[in-house]
Amino acid sequence: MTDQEIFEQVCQGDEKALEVLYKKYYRMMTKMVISNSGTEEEAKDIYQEALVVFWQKAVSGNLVLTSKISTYVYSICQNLWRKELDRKKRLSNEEKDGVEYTDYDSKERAKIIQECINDLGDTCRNVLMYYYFDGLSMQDIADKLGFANTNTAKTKKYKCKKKLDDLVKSRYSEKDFLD
Amino acid sequence: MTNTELINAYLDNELPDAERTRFEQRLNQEPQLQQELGLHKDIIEGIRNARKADLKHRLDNVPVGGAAGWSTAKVLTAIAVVAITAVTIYFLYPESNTADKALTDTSSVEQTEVPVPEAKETLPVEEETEEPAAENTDQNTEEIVKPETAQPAEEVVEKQPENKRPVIAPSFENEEIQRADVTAPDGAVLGEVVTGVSNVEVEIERNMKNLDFHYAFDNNTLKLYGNFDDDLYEILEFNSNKGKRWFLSYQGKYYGLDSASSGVTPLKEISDQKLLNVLKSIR
Repeated sequence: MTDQEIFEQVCQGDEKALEVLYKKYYRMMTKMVISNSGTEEEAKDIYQEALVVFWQKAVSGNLVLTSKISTYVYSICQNLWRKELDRKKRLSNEEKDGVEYTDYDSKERAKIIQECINDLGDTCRNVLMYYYFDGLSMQDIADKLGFANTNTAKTKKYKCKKKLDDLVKSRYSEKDFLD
Repeated sequence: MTNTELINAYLDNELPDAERTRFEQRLNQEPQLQQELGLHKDIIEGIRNARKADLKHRLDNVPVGGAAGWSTAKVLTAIAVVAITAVTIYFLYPESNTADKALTDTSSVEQTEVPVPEAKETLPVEEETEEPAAENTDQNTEEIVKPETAQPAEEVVEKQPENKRPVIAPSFENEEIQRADVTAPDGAVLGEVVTGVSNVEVEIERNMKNLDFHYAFDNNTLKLYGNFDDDLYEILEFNSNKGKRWFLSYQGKYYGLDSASSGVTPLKEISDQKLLNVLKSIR
């Protein structure tokens, strides 16, 4: 598969194409992190993050590729790794200063939300993820999930979001976080 | 519309301008509404994170082949054992006049046709082409390394050469032309040039400041002391009837490696023009 073909397929939301891309440049991208004092695990994580960013932009139609995919993804990797190094540096400074700031509440909240998302059915999960992350249009969502038309997709999205909201709120209040 | 519906419509950019403005005004006055908006933003963030995690999980299950071998290779350090084993009969006998003559002659013409160097040189080249926008890369890498790592400088340096490490490609052995007779213009057969992978391991020791540009043989391991990060280096291995002989090629210069030497020895540049010619042509 050429890069152009991969790109076109990624734009159409083909996750297989993303896997091909991942494999193709794995060594090149992880090498950058590893040779800049990162571990292999960190390198893999950064590369995956970068590809996810690439995916989101491509699939939502917000990416006009003016360079090779590898150059583009490489620059994302570099930025992400730079940020990570900064974060680490800050973290070690904070530790030295004895300042440890952990927002327990927001962590707990995120955890509850994740659990609720996992408790949704597959269809609801997918509708919401395609809408909120991939930025797919209602037409695309309908096509991908085999809904009759965009109206069905819209209704689904509305209902699924409501279901999730209710779920989160009920668990949240159970734990006395609200009010 | 309930507050939740209103918030969702607001976050999904579905509110008409007038309602949007009104909603934003309410937000300024109602901390409760603001809090709920925060919760809904977190929910949407959660959905995004779940999708990210899904995609990453998917990628995690993709076999990436060379990755594992590569990390093991890390242990072997920045090795550039791209060796040519040359079964030469003559050139290690500088005493022999005829051989000298033949060697000098071949280096100028015929030897350049020997396909061995081509086969070998494709390795570093492939490495290079894999790198996107090489000139950018190097600059950026520097940028990352220098100002932003809290790590000690040596540690960074230590890891750098991996960028330049050529891989001992398995295809090397399957190269179409593996051996070729090196023939002098007068028809004398000098011997065979055989490409292959040496089993000598090379280790680089960078942190011995008083041992710059030295080497030592230890069993089957060649230790190089000094900073060899600036360029690719190659170890040339020859089978001669005096046993194996090694040479180091680095930045256009050649150094003899005497396996019989004990302890750490300084690298001495080869000045013998005849030997140099042979090495250059073989390489």
